[in-house]
Amino acid sequence: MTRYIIRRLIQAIPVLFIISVIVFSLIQISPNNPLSAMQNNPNITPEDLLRLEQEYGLNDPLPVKYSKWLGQIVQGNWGDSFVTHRPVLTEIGERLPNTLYLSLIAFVLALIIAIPFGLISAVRQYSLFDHAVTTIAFMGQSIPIFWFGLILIIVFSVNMQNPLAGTALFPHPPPLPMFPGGGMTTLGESPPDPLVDRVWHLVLPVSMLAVFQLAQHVRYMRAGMLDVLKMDYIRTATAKGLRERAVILKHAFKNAAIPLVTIIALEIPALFNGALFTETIFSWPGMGRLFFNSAERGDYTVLMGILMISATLIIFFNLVADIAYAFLDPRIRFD
Amino acid sequence: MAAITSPQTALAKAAQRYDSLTSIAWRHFRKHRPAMLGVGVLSLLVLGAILVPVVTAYDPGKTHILDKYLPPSAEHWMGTDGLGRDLFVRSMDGGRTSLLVGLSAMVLAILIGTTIGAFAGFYGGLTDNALMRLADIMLTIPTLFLAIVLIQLLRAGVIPFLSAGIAPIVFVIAITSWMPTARLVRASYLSIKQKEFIEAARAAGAKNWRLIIRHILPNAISPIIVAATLRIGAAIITEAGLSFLGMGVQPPAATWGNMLKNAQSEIDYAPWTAIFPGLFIFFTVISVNYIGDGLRDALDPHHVE
Amino acid sequence: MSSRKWLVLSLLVLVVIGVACQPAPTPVPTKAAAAPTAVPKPTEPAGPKKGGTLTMVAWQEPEHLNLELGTQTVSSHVYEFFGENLAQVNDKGQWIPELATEIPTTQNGGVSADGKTITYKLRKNVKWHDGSDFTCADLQFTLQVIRTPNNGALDTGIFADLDQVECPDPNTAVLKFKNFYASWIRLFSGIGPIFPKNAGKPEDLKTWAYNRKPNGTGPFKVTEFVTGDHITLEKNTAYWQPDRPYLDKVIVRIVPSSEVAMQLLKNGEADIMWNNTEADMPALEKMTNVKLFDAPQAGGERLILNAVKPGDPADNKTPHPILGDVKVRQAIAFGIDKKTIIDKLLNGKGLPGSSELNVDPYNCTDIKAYAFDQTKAKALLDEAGWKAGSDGIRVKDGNRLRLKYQTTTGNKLREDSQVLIVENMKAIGVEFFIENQPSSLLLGGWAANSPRKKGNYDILMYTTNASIDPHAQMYTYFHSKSIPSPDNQGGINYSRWNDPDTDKLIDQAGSLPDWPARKDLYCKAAARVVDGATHIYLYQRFNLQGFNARVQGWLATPWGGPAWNAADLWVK
Repeated sequence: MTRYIIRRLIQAIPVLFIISVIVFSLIQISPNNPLSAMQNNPNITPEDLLRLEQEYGLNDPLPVKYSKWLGQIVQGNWGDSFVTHRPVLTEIGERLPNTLYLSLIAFVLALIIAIPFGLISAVRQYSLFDHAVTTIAFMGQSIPIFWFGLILIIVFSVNMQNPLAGTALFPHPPPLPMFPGGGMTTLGESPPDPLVDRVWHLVLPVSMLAVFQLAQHVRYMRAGMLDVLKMDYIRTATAKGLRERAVILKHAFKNAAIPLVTIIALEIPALFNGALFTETIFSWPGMGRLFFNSAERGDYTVLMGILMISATLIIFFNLVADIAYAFLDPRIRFD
Repeated sequence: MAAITSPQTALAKAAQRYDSLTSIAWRHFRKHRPAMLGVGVLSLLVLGAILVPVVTAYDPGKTHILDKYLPPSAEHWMGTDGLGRDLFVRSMDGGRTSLLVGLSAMVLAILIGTTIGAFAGFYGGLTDNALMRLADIMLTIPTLFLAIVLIQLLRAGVIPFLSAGIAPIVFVIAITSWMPTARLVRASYLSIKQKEFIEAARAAGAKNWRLIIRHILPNAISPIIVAATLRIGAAIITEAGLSFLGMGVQPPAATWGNMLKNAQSEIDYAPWTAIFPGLFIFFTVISVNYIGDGLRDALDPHHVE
Repeated sequence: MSSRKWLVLSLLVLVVIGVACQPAPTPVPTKAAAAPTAVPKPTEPAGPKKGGTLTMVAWQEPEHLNLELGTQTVSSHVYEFFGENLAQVNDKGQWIPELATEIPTTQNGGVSADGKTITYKLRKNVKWHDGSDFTCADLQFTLQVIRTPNNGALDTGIFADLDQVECPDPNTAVLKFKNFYASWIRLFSGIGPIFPKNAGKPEDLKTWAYNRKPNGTGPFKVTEFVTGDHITLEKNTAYWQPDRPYLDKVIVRIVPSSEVAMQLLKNGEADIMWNNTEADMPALEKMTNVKLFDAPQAGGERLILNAVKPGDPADNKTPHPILGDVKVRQAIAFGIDKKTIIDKLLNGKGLPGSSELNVDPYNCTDIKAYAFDQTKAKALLDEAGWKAGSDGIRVKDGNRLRLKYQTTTGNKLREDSQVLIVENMKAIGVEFFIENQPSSLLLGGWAANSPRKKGNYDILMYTTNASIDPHAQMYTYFHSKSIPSPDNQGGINYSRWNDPDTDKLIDQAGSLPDWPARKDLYCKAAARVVDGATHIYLYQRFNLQGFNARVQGWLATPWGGPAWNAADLWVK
C-alpha cells in the first residue's frame, strides 16, 4: 500500500507539469491581459500603456513567460497579482475561508439529507416516496441555478418581511427583509448578534447550493444502493432470512457508498474552486469570483495559483478515494 | 466439432441477444410512466420548436416596438419582450437553438468519449494509459475555466469555422464533457473484449475496427445511451450558465439561456419574459432526465434473466 | 393546438410564482414604517441632519484604491469619498476650487502670459487623515512618484509636459511647464490622486499600505477594506469644511449582479446603486422608495465606421470598398431612427446624438444632428451608385451592400438597438450583419489583434466620452497622427479619419490658453467629423442615478460619480 501511494505521488509530478503548461498556454493565448481594461481610457496615453506592457513583461514570448513563472514556483514563490500587486497566496488566502465556509456547510447539509433519502428511495424503489424524491432531485438539476437564486432573493429578500424585526434577535426596526439579499454579515446599523447574523446570511446561499448538490447526491446514493441490492450476495443474505434492515445496513450500505465516495472525492476539490453563480448572486466574496475576475483581467499569476492548487487537490483526493475503496471493499487490492 | 461454437453461430447469438434486449428494454421503458411523460413533453417541445416559427404569423426576430412588454394575452400567449417580439414564438425559435445546442453538444461529446473510450479499452496498454491520462488531465482543469478560455479563443477566430453562432458553444460544451463517457465505454470494452464471441469473431478474421464498431459497440451501447440522454439536459443547462456570464450563444439569435439572462433585469416589471424561458429549460431538462432514468431502468441487464 | 395544454400549465406556474411575488400584505410601506421609530420628536429640523449611514452598492470589485495604479471606475468613485484634488468640476461643468483657494486664471495672475507657469494658492489648515498637514510638498511628492521609473505609475505621459512643481511656501504651488499644455488644469485635478508625502517610497508604489488603507484629505476616511465584500469609510472629524460631512459612515458594498443590486435598492438594503443604466428605468420608476436623477453625459453611443479597407493593418490609405464613400456613410446616418431607440429602449432617458462635444463647458450647439430621413438616405445611396438588387439589398459592380456590425457582447441595450438599426438599414437597402465580441476582444490592444486596432472591421458600436477638457478625446480620436498602424500601435483614431482641416483645427486649439477660442476650434473640428460621418452619433446617454428617497443633498452631474459632493450628502 505504501509503495502504491508513493508511486502515485511520483506520477503526479509530470501530470501537474503538463497541466501547468497547457493551462499557462491557454491563458496566454486568450485575449485578456492585465492592462486591457486601460485600453479605452483616454487619460492613459498609448505610450504609457506600451511602457507598462514592457514593465510587466506582457510582451515576452510564451516560453520566456512560462519559464519565469516556473522558476518562481519551484522556489515556492507564487508571484504577485498583476492587478492588485499583492502576493497570489494572499489573494487566495483571503477568499478561501469564505468559500469553504459557504460550500462546506452546503455540502455537508446536502450529504446529510441525501444519504438517508437516497437509501430509502432505493430500498422502496418505485414507491410514492421514491417518485417524490426523484422528482425533487430532478427539479434541482433542471433549474438554471442563477435564475433560482434571483427568485430566492425576490421572494425572501424583497417581498417577505422579517416578522422578528425590532425584537432582541433582530434589533433592526422593521422593515427588515426575511433574509438578506446577499453578503456575509450585516454592514449597516443595528446588526443582530454575530452568530445569528451569520446564520441569517447563510440561509439563502446555502439553500441555493444545497438544492443543486442534493439533487446529484440523492441520485448517486440511490443508484449505488440499487446496484448493490441486485448483487447475488445481498440476495443470498436476504434469502437466508436475516432481517432486511440488518442486511441493508451491514452489507449493502458499505458497498453502496463507493460511488458516493467517488463523488465526494471529486467534489471536495470543487469546493475549493468556489461556486461562481452562488457567489455572484449572493455577493459572496469567494474563490469563484476571484477566479472569474482574474480570468477576465488576464491576471495570470493568480489564475495559475488557483488552477495549480486545484489540480493538486484533485489528484490528491482521487488517491484518497482509491485508498478509501480498499477499505470499503476488501476485494480491491493495490500492488 | 460440436464442442467448438462456430463464429457465425456466436455472432448470430449475439445479435439475437441484442434484439431481445431491445424489445425487453422497450417493454420496461413503456412501463416507466414518468419517462413516457417525458417523451410526451419533449416531443411536444420539439414539434413546437420546429413548427411554430414556421406556421405562425409572427416573425420571431421581427420587432414591433410599439407592442413592447405586453403581458400574456390571447393575442400573445406568453406576452412580448422589450422589442415587442412575441415571446411564445420567440421561445419556440429559441428552443430550436437550445435543443440544437443540447443535441449537437451531446452527439459530439458522446462521439469523442466513445471513440477515446473504445480505443483505450480495446487496445489497452500504452494507448489506454495515454488516453486515460488525457482524460485525467481534462478532468483536473476546472470546466468553467476551460470553457471561458476556449470560448474566448474560438470567438477570436482561432478555428475559423468554429468562431460564430452556436458552433463555439457546442464545441466547448462537448470538449469539456466527454470524459465520463470515455471512462464508461472503456470499462465496457475492457470486459467485453475478453468475451468468447469476440474471440470467435477474431478467429473468423474480423479486423480490429470491425470488432470495435460492429461487435463490441452494440454490446456496450446501453450505458452510452443513458449517458447521451442525460448529456442533452446538462448541455442546455450549461448553455444557460454560459449565457449568464455573457458567453453563451449571442443575440440576436435566441436561446432559452440568453433570453433568461436578458430577462433578469426585467423581472420586476415584465416577469413573464423571465418565467417562460426558465420554465422551458426546466421542463425540457426534467423530461430528458426522466427519459434517461427510464432508459437506465429499461436497459438494466438485471432484467434479462 | 396541442401545446395549448402546455400553455395552461405554464400559466398556472406563472400564477403561482406571481402570487409568491406579490408583496406581503402585512408590512406597511417603507417610509411610514420607519417614521414612528426614527422620529420620536414631533418636529423635524428643516435643514440637513447629522449622522446616519449611507450604503452604496457597486458591481465592480475595487482592486485597490490607488488611482495611479489602475483606472477602475469604482475606485475613482471611492476616491471621491476619501480623496481630494486641487480643483473639481461641479454639476454645471465649471471648475471650482477644492484644495486650492481659487482657480488660476490670467486675470488673477495664476496663469502666466505664455501659459507655461501656473500658480496655485493652496488652502491652509487642511490635514491628511493621519493628522499631518497638506502642503505643496505633497504635490512635489506626487510628481516624484509618477516620474519614478518601473513602479507601475500610469500617468507619466499626461504629466510629460510638466517640468517641475516649485514650492515658494507651503501653501503656494508653482507648476512650471516645458511646453504649453492646453489641459494643464487636469493635472492634480482629475487625473490621478494627490499622495501624502509620507505614503511610502516612490519605487514601492505597488506595495504601499496606502493602496488598501489610503490616507486622504476628504470628508471620509477608509477604515476597513474587506476584499470583494465591502469598504467602510468613517466621518473625518477634522475635515476642513466647517460642519461637514453630515454622514457618520459610508459603506461601499460589492454586489456583482446588477439585477440583485436593483432588488437591494428596492428592499432598502442599498441607498445608491452605482451605474444605473437605461435598462433599469422601468423598474426604478416603479420603486416608490427611490428618487431618480439624470443629467446628460458627454459624448455618447456611436457607430464607428471604418474609412479604410480592412485587411492590412499597415495600409491606412486604400479606402473601404463600401464605407470609403462619404455618401454611403451619410446615408447610414440619415437612415437610423434615433428617436425610436431613445423613446423605446432608453425609456426617453437620452438625447439624439449630435456631435462629439455636446455638454457644457463645450456644448457645440451649432452642430445639428442627422435627422431620420429615409428618402434622403436612399437618394444618397442611389447617387453613390448602389442600386437595389433582387432581394432589396443594394448592389454595385456585383458587390452587395453588406457590412459587419459589431458591438460588445452581454449588453442588452446594445443588442436590442442593433436589432432596430439592422431593420432601419434593411429599409434603405443596406444589409448589416451582427457579429458581436466580448469587450476584451473587441476593444482590446494591438497584440490581442483587436479588430479596431488592426482596422479589421466595418462598423463598431460603443460609447466613448470626452473628459472635462476635450483635447485628449479630439486628438486621439480624430487627428491623423492617432491612426493606429504597426508603428503607432497605441493610436485610437479607429475610423481612420484622415482630414488635414481637422488636424489643423485640433492642433491650433491645443496651442491656445484661452478657453472660448479653444472651444470654437474644437467645435469646428467636431463639425468636420459629423459631416464626414465616420462617427455616427446615436444617442447622448444620461448619467442616471437612483437614490433611496431618504438620501438628500445630491446634485445630478454629467461629470462626477455618485460621491462627487459626498460632504453634502445626508440622510433623513
